[in-house]
Amino acid sequence: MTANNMADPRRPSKIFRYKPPNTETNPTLEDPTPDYMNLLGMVFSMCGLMLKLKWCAWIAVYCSFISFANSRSSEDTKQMMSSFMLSISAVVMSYLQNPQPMSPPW
Amino acid sequence: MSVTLALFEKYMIPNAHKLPRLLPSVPAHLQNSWESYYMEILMVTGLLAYIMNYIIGKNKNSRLAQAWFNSHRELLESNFALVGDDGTSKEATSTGKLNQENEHIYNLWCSGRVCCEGMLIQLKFLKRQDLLNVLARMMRPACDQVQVKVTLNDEDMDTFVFAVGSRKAMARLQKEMQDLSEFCGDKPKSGAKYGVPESLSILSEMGEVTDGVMDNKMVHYLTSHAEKIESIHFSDQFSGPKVMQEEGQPLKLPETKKTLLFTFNVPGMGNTSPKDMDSLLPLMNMVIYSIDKVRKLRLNREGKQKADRNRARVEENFLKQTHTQRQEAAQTRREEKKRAEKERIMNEEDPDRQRRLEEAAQRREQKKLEKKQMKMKQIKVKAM
Repeated sequence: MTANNMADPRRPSKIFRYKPPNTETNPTLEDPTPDYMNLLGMVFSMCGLMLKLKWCAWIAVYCSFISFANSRSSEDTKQMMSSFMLSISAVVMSYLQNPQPMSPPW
Repeated sequence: MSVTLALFEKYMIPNAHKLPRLLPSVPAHLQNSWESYYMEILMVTGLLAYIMNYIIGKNKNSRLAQAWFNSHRELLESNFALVGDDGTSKEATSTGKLNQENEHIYNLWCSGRVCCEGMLIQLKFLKRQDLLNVLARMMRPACDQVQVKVTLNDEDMDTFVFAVGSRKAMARLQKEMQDLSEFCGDKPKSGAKYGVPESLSILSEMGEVTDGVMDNKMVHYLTSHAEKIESIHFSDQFSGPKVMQEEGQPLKLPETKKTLLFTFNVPGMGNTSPKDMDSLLPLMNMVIYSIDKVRKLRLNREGKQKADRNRARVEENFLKQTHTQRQEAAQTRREEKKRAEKERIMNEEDPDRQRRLEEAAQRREQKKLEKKQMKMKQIKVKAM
């Protein structure tokens, strides 16, 4: 029995539970991309809605997609969805108000 | 529009056929054909491409993670009683699967082994699910990484700090890591001196530690897998990277933990296939070997004394640097106490009690002043 224990390094009595690392004490561990993209998306949506700029609204849609792709699993889906909805509504509203196609910047 | 114009010309303007035809081109924004919406079509195509890339990238990362786990499962299950835990379940039972943190980072916690508290393995893949990142990587290639962090109990490791890895990584870690910058102040030494490829450098607290860690088996591991090793860091004073404080330095030494940290590069430089995960298995064997080795590695008397002196030196430096801050903090605390007491006296309704409290406070102040004066006199006498 003891010979078995010597060869087997496993010790069920020495189990420690997993503790997720505390990101408050070490902010370098967290990736800021989804939060920045979320914020940028909302800013562009508001610009698109209020200034009636179509390209702003399209960029907002892209920002919310990028934010979604980079988001953590633990993050609230409600925030992602609201950012999506805001950017899509910005695009829709810009086209309803002005159905003309977007003119290229060149 | 052109038909109307033609009819107009024919019936309303005589001899219109003699006039030069002036059919103005209609501006794009007044046309109503799909072709004029080409920017929008471009945008939607871009979004579809992004979504396609998201699905493909996510699946690839997931397959790589699963391939890694399948090739390492046996080794981990034979070494740890708990393989896979998300910390949320009541009972400590092995989940037997990876925790997905997001679409490119997977975690695995293993525990229940001699010589260590636990081992956290992080599979840090490239952000294949984000098209922007994929495009950025075309300019600047990067590779997937596997990071292993083994936390040890106090009796599992003697007091030393050691690191070996690629030259670039060592230079960066020496600047970034709190313990490496404090205890391994010398420039990284070339690995060639110890029989490993020159591409690897060594940072060590003292020569005895390097000699102890770099035994034949370790040298063999490092030599055969040098290109996959980013960094290996053994430390009894591990507290993570240096934390930049805004309001001056922290008043307490950062908390340290005995840790072994391994960072491996997955071969393929981004173009990894699930088969490449098998080539990381020998590295995990090295990790297990290191855990057992560190337990047995003990410094001799001289080494231990040197190590203790180093730790005392670091603590002293820290205390010196924070001396002024601590003094200021103590001063603020004393003032706060005085203010609180004064307030208590003022708020006291009974005038007699108020008078008595005031007198008591005055007497205390007087005593303190006398004590201080006595001390100054004693110092003066001693100086003389």
